[in-house]
Amino acid sequence: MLLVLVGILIITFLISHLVPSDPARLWAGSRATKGQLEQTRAELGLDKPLHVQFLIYLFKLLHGDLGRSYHTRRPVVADLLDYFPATFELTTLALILSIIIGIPLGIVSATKKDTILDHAARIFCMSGVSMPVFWSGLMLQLLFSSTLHMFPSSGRVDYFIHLNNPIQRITGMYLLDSLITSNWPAFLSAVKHMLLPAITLSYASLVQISRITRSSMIEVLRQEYIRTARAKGLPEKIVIYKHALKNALLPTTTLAGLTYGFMLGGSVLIESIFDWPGIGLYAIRSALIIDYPAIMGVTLLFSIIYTTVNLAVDLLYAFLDPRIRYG
Amino acid sequence: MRAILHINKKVKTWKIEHESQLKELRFILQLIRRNPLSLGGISVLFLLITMAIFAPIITPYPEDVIETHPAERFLPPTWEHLMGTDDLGRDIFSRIAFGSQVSLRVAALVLLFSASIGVILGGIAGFIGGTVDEVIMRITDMFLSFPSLLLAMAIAASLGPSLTNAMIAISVTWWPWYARLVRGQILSLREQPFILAAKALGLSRKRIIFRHLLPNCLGVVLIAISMDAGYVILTAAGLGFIGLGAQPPTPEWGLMISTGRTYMPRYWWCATFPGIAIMITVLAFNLIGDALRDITDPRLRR
Repeated sequence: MLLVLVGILIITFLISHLVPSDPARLWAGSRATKGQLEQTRAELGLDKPLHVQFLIYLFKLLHGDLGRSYHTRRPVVADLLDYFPATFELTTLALILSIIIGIPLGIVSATKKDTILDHAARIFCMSGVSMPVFWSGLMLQLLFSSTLHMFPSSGRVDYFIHLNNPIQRITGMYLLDSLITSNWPAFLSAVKHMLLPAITLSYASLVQISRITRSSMIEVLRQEYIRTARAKGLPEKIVIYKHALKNALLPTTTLAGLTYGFMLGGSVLIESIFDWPGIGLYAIRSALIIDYPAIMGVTLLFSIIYTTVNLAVDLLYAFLDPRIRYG
Repeated sequence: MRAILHINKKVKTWKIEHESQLKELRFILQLIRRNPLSLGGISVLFLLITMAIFAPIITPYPEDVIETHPAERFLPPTWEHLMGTDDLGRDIFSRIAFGSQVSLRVAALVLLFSASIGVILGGIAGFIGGTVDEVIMRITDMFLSFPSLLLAMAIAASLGPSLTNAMIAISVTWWPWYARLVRGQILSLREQPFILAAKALGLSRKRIIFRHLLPNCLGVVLIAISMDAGYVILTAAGLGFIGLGAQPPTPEWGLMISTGRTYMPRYWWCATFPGIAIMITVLAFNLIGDALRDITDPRLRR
């Protein structure tokens, strides 16, 4: 785990420092003179050898300093803290949605294997993963915002919420904050704004959860104890939901972790479509203007979350399946 | 006459020699036939390849890949322009047809590149083992601990936005999966009796690796490639959409959606049709990959 983290650091550092563009020019602006450029370079520590730069970066990082964004001119850590709750809120809701929809779809596919229902579920999930998220987001906007006027197309809440019912910032997650302070108009507005992006994101990752549920369910349903349960005369519902499902859900747990990583990546595109002020939007903005400290900060944050989630899933797996023990 | 007889005999001996493989092939064909969706995927893919090859012939306005017609901006879909025209008056259908060349080429090159690196490194790790294995696997772990789109974005941004750089960026994020896959495969193959037999016969290491181990990994790698092709196309389109992939005036689908997005919802056709093209292509690949996975998964075979 620690080794992987160091590796992540090295990779992010190398990506952003072995490249042909000049960050000093970005910082100093395009009209800077040669002398000014040299000065900026010295200020940013870009004149030192690569390994020294890396050590400085590492040292600062250990003190919680990720450098300053060239664009916002604020510490990257502050930027990340500002933007992260929005992304976290969105991806979590999307993950919950995919689980709620994906598992039943997988069960139906497994119990009705090779029938029309199974094929229909397969097509439904497959189309989700085959659409580019940025496009399915646009299409949902076209249908539900522009044509039916049911949901707003961008942002996190309506602007008048900020005037009439301002949300007190506790966690930075609008849903949670407005719920805690029982600020109902704000909560409703936040839900409305979140639904389209969350649906888009979850539809794109539905397939993994439903497919793995299907295949592990098929496998479980073939086992002896299921035959026994059926022979005892238990109703099919109980056989499937009580006896089979419990064991079939193990692989699904692992996959939920992987899916979360996929969603973090997808959130970048989704946020750009729905103008969602989260890390993804921040990442795109920084990537387009080559804002190194910001890019490095985002990559680092996402990969740490990703690694942690996967570790947590591994541990959870051991907890759920007593046959697995990590020595 | 004698020549025909000779060929006949050769075919017969070939058939006998390869009986098990033929049986396997027949079985797989039978499984494919049982899964109508995969058949659909294969036909769509075939159509797409045809479209990519014959794009200059079948499109009504092949010159519209680059040429602009300011007088014909934003024409809605009609018989003249099946999918309408875009902000520069170019025929969208023609550009989509040429876009299939771009997408298929990107997928092919990225997969070829990343699979070769993965096979080489994974093969080395699995066969040599020990410290070498440990080092290579830790490196793949590091790469795998990034969400792949984000890593590709960071690399593409650093290299500078272009289609080639996007392809490099995607390959860099993709090879570790193949390395891991091939290593696992080699590790399990190494213990098989036929490798022991090959060693007992005194075959050289090179021969064992290239003639016995790697060919047996090929099937798994090919299946992985067919399942990944869709994701690669999606990632490339995503980078194009952000502005870190293909640059105008390349008729790349992601880029077309990105431009068309500005003119939503009024000129909806600009962004809608390229997206449908991506969806159909990726869906075809995914259906094929899904069927292949079912076929090769012994638990689902019965």
